[in-house]
Amino acid sequence: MKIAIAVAVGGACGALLRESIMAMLQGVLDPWVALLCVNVPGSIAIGLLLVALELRFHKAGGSALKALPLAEALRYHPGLFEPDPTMPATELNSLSGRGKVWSGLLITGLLGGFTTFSTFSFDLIELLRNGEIAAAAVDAAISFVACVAGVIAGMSIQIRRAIRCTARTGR
Amino acid sequence: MAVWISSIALGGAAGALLRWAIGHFISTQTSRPGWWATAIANAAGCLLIGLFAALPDLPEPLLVGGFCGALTTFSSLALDIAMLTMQGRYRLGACLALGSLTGGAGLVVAGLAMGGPL
Repeated sequence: MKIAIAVAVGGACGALLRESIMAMLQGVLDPWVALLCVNVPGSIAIGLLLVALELRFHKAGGSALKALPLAEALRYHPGLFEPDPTMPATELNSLSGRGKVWSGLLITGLLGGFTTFSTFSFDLIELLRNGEIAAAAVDAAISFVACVAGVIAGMSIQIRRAIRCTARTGR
Repeated sequence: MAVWISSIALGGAAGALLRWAIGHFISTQTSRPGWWATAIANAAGCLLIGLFAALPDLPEPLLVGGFCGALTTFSSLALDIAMLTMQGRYRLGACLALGSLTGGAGLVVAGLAMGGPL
């Protein structure tokens, strides 16, 4: 229930933020360019936040980051891939519960509601119907390449930062 | 202005909740990987945005900017593609990207056609 409220609040804020930015950029940029100014920063932010939340709240092991080659360097980070031995079980559970609420608020809600795929697809069809084939191709290519690269960049920045922190504390 | 803000907030909350519920259903009731949930939410939102655009006199901030905007997501899709790519599953990642691109555009057209002549 807490997670559902978090998702709804995040979704409302994300959608409001997106529509405000789109309204401000109306008449300044083409709609599809304005949408890139939403989707690309949103993708960088989801990469940054996903790793930050995993590091902060994943203390019971089995993090999804384990499948990533970049994560090899995080193997000594306590709680990420093996349960954190310094934490009592009750604390582990409450931490992962709180992590789900934060992830619902910020990732599923805020960033999920901020970035959008339906308007992107709709803009593509509008461009194609107006005969602006080149713009449609550029929109599609930039959207996918920049958003995926943005996610990877965001994740890499956080993972590198975590590695530096682990090195400093001497683990 | 107050109507505009509350419409977008309400639509955005409903869209995000539905996307979360789809994800919850996929992860608890099926054994499919998580990217299915984002793909289904995006597909539904693309069909609906086409349909809403074709129907006259709809409250656009509520249904389009709010609901469809928050039901669909580009950041989670990019995250799914990025995870598949980083795991070396390039073919599945490329299929998800190209399938989303063509499927999304196709469903917008299907929605427009459902709402009236193109």
